[in-house]
Amino acid sequence: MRNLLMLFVRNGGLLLFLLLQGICMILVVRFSDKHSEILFSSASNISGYFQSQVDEVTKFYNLSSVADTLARENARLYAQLDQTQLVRSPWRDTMKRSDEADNWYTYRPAQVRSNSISAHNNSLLIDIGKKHGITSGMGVVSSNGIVGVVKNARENFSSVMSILHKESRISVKIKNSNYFGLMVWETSNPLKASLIDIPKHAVLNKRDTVVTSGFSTIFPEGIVVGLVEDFTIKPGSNSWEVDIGLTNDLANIRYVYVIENIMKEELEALLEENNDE
Amino acid sequence: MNSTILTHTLRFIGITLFQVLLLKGASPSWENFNYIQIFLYPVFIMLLPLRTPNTLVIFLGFVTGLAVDLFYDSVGVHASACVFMAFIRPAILALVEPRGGYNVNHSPTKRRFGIGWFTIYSSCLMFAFLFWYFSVEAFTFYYFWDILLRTLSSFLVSMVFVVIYQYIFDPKE
Repeated sequence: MRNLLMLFVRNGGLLLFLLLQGICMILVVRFSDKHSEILFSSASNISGYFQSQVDEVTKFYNLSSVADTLARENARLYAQLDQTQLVRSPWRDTMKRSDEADNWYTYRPAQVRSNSISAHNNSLLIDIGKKHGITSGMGVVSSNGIVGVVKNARENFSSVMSILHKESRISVKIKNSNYFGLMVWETSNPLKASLIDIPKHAVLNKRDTVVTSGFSTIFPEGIVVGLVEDFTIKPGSNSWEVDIGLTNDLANIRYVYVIENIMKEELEALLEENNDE
Repeated sequence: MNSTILTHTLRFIGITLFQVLLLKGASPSWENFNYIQIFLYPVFIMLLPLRTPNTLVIFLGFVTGLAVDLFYDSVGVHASACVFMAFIRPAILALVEPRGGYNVNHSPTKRRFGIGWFTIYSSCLMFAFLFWYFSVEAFTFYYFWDILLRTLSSFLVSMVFVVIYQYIFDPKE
């Protein structure tokens, strides 16, 4: 205690100087817009600099997981290459799926340029557009599952309505029993979605796989969407309310594929006829 | 003792009023050159008696600066520069210490130490004051050369006023 007092006595000038300078700086920043603007922009410059340094490091750190994803992707593509039957590729970097059921789907690789998952209505931006044959209504998938539907295609970029969007409706089915319904996103959790319109006589189990139904013209059949986590029925309702956990974590997607359905026009014309009757 | 306090209080009031009422409006500028501001009020800090405790000098610097700030609409800037000047005053005094040292009962005035000594002493403090003042005003060293130019041009004009002040009042205390 005595030493502390001595410290104050000996360095009183310096301490008072620092204290009063601190007060002055606070006053300067508080009372002058110009000064506070300079302070905040400098502060954001500095934090931006550190953020970019950290990003550099984490990017490097993430390289191995990116490489893993790409390797898995490659393996999948090689497996399909062996079975390729339909050879009509109008584009380089374009691959046809050979499964007999959906050999009319074309895949185009793209990179995600911006992404959001925390809003009520999320969307993405991808780096291919009209020039590469993209039109609105095409499906977008990544190696882990479905991502969304192209909403707007411009010359070089397209915007994608994420499955994490209040208006997103994806036609899906339970893999084993083939009961189909619609997947909607009503939570704000980017890893949870719900399934509606599954008739109440359907038998459901936890951890049933949910896949795309192939009934819409957007996605081919059988792309994994998620797993059933919970299901309830509301009194008086005729259908289950199913909670599903999504397999695709949209928070870290980087590489996606845009799916074109070559038979889309024909199918849609028929569907329209059906509806008109 | 009381007369010393009275003298300095009167000097504080007079010099501050002179600063904010007259010198504030009298910043010579022509064409695009408006880099000159005249500051006389730091003289109050310079002339405080040698026996004044350092902490009191610093505190008085803060009060003086804040008083001027209120009239300059720049809360904190003058106070900051004054506190800095008061803080380095002992160091400057040690730097220009005459042979034989100081008599602690004296004040650092022209009458005691001569005009040559006083000019050197006040120049050091005035330069430090102005440089700190313009730096805090700009709040960034991005305009370093601009700050230096303002400091130098204001320094020359302000020093003329400081020296004239010594001849007019020739303060003993």
